[in-house]
This record gives sequence, C-alpha cells and structure tokens, in this order.
Amino acid sequence: MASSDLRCLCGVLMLGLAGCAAAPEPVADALMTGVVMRSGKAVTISVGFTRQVQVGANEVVISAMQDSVMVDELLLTVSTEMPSMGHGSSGSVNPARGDDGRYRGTVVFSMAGDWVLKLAVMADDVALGSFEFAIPL
Amino acid sequence: MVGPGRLISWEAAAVGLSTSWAHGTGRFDTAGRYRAFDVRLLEDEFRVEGWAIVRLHERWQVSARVPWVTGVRASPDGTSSVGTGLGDVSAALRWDFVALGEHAWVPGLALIAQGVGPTGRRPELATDFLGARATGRGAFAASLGLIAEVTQAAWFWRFDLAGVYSAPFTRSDTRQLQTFGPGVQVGLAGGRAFFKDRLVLALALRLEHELPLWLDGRVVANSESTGLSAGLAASLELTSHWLMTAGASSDVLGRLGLSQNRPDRLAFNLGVRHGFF
Repeated sequence: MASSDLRCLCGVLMLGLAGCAAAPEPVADALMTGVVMRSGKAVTISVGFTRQVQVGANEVVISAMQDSVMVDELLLTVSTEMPSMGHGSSGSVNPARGDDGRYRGTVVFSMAGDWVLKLAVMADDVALGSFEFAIPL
Repeated sequence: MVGPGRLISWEAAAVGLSTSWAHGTGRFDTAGRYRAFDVRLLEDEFRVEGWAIVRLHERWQVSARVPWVTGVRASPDGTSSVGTGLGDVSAALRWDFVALGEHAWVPGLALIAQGVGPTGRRPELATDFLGARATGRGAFAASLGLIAEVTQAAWFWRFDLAGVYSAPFTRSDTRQLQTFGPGVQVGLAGGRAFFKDRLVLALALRLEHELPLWLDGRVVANSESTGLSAGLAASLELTSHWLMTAGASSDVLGRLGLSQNRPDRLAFNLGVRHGFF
C-alpha cells in the first residue's frame, strides 16, 4: 500500500486527457496527484475540481492513468476532515466512474478553515493506497 | 466557566433567559494568521439560553444552563442553510468559601465545578452541506475554576481561572477515539455601578487555550487553539426582582497574533433575569 502523501493545493487541476467527453473540464493552476501500484505497475491518480474550491459541496473529478491508459474498476472513497478542530463533514459522495473514464463525486467542506481531503483507492477488494491533500478555505 | 453568574446575597434563586447573535468575520488559522471571510460567506449563530441558579446553602449554589442553537450559513456560490437544535447543556456547583466582604482586605473567593454534556449535534452529523445544523462539540467536559472578586465603593473587579478536561468519545464518522486537549481559561473583568447601583457597566477580557487533540492515541499536529476576546457588558435593574442585561464582545484582539484555530466573531447578547427572595 502506498503511504499517505500530503501536498498543498492552491487551485484545481488541468486534465488534458485524450477522449474527453462533453462534461466540464476541470481547470486548475496546481497539481494534486498521487501514485499507487497495481499489478506491479504505477497508476497515477490526479484529483481536481470543476471550479475554485469553496465552502459547501464541490464536484471532484479524479482520473487514474496507467501507461497513458485510463484505469477503470477502481473503488474510490473520499472524506473530509478539519484536523485542527477535530471534526469532519457530512454529505460527501464517493466518486463513480463516468462514460469518459473519469471518476466524479462530491466533497463537502462545511465551513471555512484548514481542511484535509482524504482519498482511498481500492481495486479487486485490495487497498492500493490512500492520500491526504490539504485544502485551506 | 462562563455561566449565569451567581446569586446576590439575599436571593434564594434566580432564573433567566439570554439571547445572543454571533457574526463570523473571519478565522485565525493554524499559524495564528487572520483570514477574513469572503464577503459572500456567512457563518452566523443565534443562541437562546434558559438558565437557573438555586441556593442550596449559605455558601453553596447550583446552576444549570440549556442552550438552543440556530446556525445560519451561506456559501459564496449562493448556497444557504439554516439549522437549529439543542446545544450542549451544562450544570455547575459553586462554593463561596470566602464570601464577598466577609473579611477586610480579602477578596471573595469561590470554587466552581462545571460539567458539560454532549447533547448538541456534532459537525459531521449536520445533514446540510454548510454545517448549519451543528449545535455542539460532542464530548463530555468538566472544569474546575477559582473566582476572586473585589468591590470597593462603586467599583468591582473579578478574576477567573479554570482548567478544563474533555472526556474521550468515539467519532460516529471515522470510529476513531477522539479526545480534545485539556484547556485553561482566564478571565478578568472590572466595572462600576451607577445611579444607586441600578446600572452596572463592565469591561472583560478572556483568554482560552486548549492543548492539541488526540485521535486514536496520537496527537494531532497543529490542533492546539488559543482565543482572546474582549467585551463590554451592562445590566439595568428594572425592579428589585428583574434585571436586564446586554453586552457585546469581539475576538479582534486575536489579530495581534494571539489567536489560532479559532473563528473571529463579533457577538451581541441581550437577556433578562429574575431573582427570587
């Protein structure tokens, strides 16, 4: 299992992937990524949002690429936590794979503060890795 | 430690209702930097509290406080939410081991033991996206404090010092065992009575510090918090039994770099008090 990795986020992610559908492209000026291993090969997980992250519900878009090919059949779990205050928030929806190969879900940040977005990646009932991304609001 | 106060020496009991409005203007982050809210962001709280104090004995008083909390939230994208519910109830036992004015040159001294129950709704249990339905902290807490009071002519001073301990609890969302760190509260207030003691005005400073919280036996980094607030309070005697109270407070002093992991709020309160004697 890949160890957790904490990175700073200052915006959302530009995903220039081939075969993009008509769904809104995430736009970003910073990167939020992680790498997990599956069957001995690296899978790059890229996380972004469809707009500037705000207090409330935010649509999250995640892509998983292995050898420049989108990886499906992943089980992604998201949650949010405000470590300094010792609470999370309710209402987040785990990303589900769409027709364009990306995974879309919802993450909720219920108030202004220093949040952490937690992402867990599983495939075939095996935990591949987990990540934590800092999101100040 | 901030409670309904104490009984006047001739009172057998008192009851009251206080209302307050706290308007969020920003927050102090982990590093103590002030971050103003987006003008379109709203994090306000209205609170109505019923309270009562009963004298058990000449030097012993017991009190209880029941808050009803209403959160009003709005997000920059236009989303808004209102939530309401019971807050965390509290009860306290006070022992005046040196009554005010009992000895010359000795302040009135009291010990207060207070308990808080998690009857409110924790943030992760709030069903709206903006957390407006959150009304409590989710943990039992106990505090032990010392109060010293001095009066001289129409002037008075009061000093509070208390230690707070929170009990561990299991998070309903992550199933982790969480414990808020122990804390200390220090308060200093002073004021004067006017018009034959019918009007009292006071200024108050309050400092609170809480050590980092624990999750599953490990300290959560950068989770300690500090808050510094200043306030102005007034009480007006309407009749010998009825009193009206009002006040305002602000966390603005925290912008001197003294606050961290706390909201910055401007608050106003209004209340009534009835004494039985």
